[in-house]
Amino acid sequence: MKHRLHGESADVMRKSRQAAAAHSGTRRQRRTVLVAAIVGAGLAVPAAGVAARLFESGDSFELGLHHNPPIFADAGGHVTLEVGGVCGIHSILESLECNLEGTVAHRYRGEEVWTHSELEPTNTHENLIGTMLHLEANGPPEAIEYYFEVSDPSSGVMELLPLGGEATPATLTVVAEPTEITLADEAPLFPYVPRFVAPWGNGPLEVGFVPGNESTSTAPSSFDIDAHGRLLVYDAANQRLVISRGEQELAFIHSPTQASLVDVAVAGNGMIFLLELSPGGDSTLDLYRSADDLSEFIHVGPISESIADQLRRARDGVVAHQYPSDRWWPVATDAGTAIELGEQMELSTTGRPSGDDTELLFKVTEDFFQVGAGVDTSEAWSVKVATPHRFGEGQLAEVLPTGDVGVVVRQIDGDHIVFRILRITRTGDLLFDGTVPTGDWTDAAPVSRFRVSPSGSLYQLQTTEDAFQIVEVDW
Amino acid sequence: MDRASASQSSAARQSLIVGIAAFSVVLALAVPAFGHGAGWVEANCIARGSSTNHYNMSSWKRANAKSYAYTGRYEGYTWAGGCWDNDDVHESKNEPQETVNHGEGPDCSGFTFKAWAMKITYGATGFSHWLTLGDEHGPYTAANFKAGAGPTSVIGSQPSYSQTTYMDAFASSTHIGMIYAEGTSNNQDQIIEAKGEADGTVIATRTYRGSSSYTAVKRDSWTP
Repeated sequence: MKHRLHGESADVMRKSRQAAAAHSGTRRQRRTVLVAAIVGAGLAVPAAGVAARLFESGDSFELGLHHNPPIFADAGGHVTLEVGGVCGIHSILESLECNLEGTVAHRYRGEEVWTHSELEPTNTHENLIGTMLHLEANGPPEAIEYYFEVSDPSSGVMELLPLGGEATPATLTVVAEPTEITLADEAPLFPYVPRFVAPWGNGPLEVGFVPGNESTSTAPSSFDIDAHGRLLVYDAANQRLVISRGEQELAFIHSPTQASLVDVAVAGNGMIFLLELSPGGDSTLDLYRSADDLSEFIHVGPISESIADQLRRARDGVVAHQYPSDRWWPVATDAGTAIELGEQMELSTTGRPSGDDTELLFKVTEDFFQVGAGVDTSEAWSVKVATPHRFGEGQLAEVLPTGDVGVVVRQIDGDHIVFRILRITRTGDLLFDGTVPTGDWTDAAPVSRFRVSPSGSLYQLQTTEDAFQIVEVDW
Repeated sequence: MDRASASQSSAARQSLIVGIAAFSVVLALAVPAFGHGAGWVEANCIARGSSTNHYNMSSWKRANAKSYAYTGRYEGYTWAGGCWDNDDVHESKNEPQETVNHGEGPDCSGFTFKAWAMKITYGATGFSHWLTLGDEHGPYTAANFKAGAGPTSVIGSQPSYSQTTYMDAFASSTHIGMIYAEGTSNNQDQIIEAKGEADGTVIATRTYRGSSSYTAVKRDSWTP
């Protein structure tokens, strides 16, 4: 793995080639002798000799950190901040692990002084270290900023998480007494209307599907709706964006990326953006935008995160999301101009910027989900919704044009799985509670199966054995 | 070509590989750079079946497996393949499947086999450390893993986070990916997987945990 030049935060491995030099010089010399011997033997066993030389050239010491942010915390309560790591030189068997130590620094937003707390091992097998913070909040909205400084003493490698340390800390939002709702055991299966149906295939009125064969299947990986109500589908198998202009009338824009997992978002002015969610053969995730005449896509630039799972419209352009760091990164403006990598990091927020200056926070656990306003708004609110079943992944949380909040989350009840769809007010009134089938016959759009149009309509991407379809749910 | 026939043809291929490798040494002085595409394995890898492409080990920890798997990130994908270097370049991208085992990278089950340090003999317990440039796929398919074959066990479908940990895996009948970093919510995890010809081997956010198509499985007998 090569050292990356640009920022990677939470959950992403970072490597320190310079640490290899700090590692045992004796060991390196011994390996050099060994490699020389093997290369010499390569005259007799050529394949082994060649391989050993290349294997040696790829050597590097690696330290990577990952962290699942709590996002919400109750005032006066406590929260555990935990970070895990993996490190070692992959070709030296005895050093494939490390013993991490370090500190977590935290402060209330607006304060200058950081408080440093020692991290202690919480699970040595998984290289997890953490500490518990006791919160003292005067009242919401309040936020605690924190960052980790972690090192492996044996190698001398040190890493910050997030990468910018105190310059770009992670955020924990303190909320007081969220309004709590417990959902009914059952909600009605709500009718939906197909708005786009295409059989699997490669033709002009079809959408592509390639079954996996010891790999993931390739199917449409995302969709979005523009202000005119047009549906846009990313047809990964055929490397094209399909635009529905009406019944039986489709237009196509060829995609410049070969990545099979690509998200699409339409900015407020109609500009279409594509973001690679898995790197198509290199170590960057690249962003593209449509040309003014929609004839092609133009490369905008890379994003600073090497793991992204969503691209969404924001008030001034588009933002990308990384899970589980749960941070949103502005990556381009409405004009299609790239936001520089350093700025992406500095402007990142835990909540998602939406149209009314609200930064919406959203967290799903198996027992409940919680939505609330970010700390930069004048009105703080939080609603916690419990389930008698089990929640799966959160698919969507949006501030709607009415000011209410729409949420879609997977609900698991044994073998019975549906998506639960809710509209709630910021004071906790439940306006809509229904379910729709998952419609996930194949791997498609893992966390982008639902979108809300600019007018507030809800759409779902579904796949069946015969066809791909997008349906509208009248919520 | 199924896995068995792929295995049967490997012996003949190995003879060819040895011949090509020997010839390449003759050419090496004149053509120092290796080409991409078909023949990448022959030019760069220790031949499948060679005794020098692995070491038998007395221990293998999840942390070992995680570090090892990470070497595959950004590298290629080859159906039935199992050899990659460590340069963050996806060589032999989008090669046709007919060139199986000639391009860089593992497929999903071969990647899991090597990261889990499994023995080459189907069902055998114990550990083998496979060199990343040692070409080997192993005897297990995704479906085998899903069924808990050999030194692996089924955890169950749609498991809670408390039932799994890092370097367990989610397997369907056609694909397997390992948990690089567990999430804590949303049924999301960061999965490290040999994803396909277009993407190569990557870490990506996936929701296999919530899918009824996938079953959580684990390697048995990790070293504590």
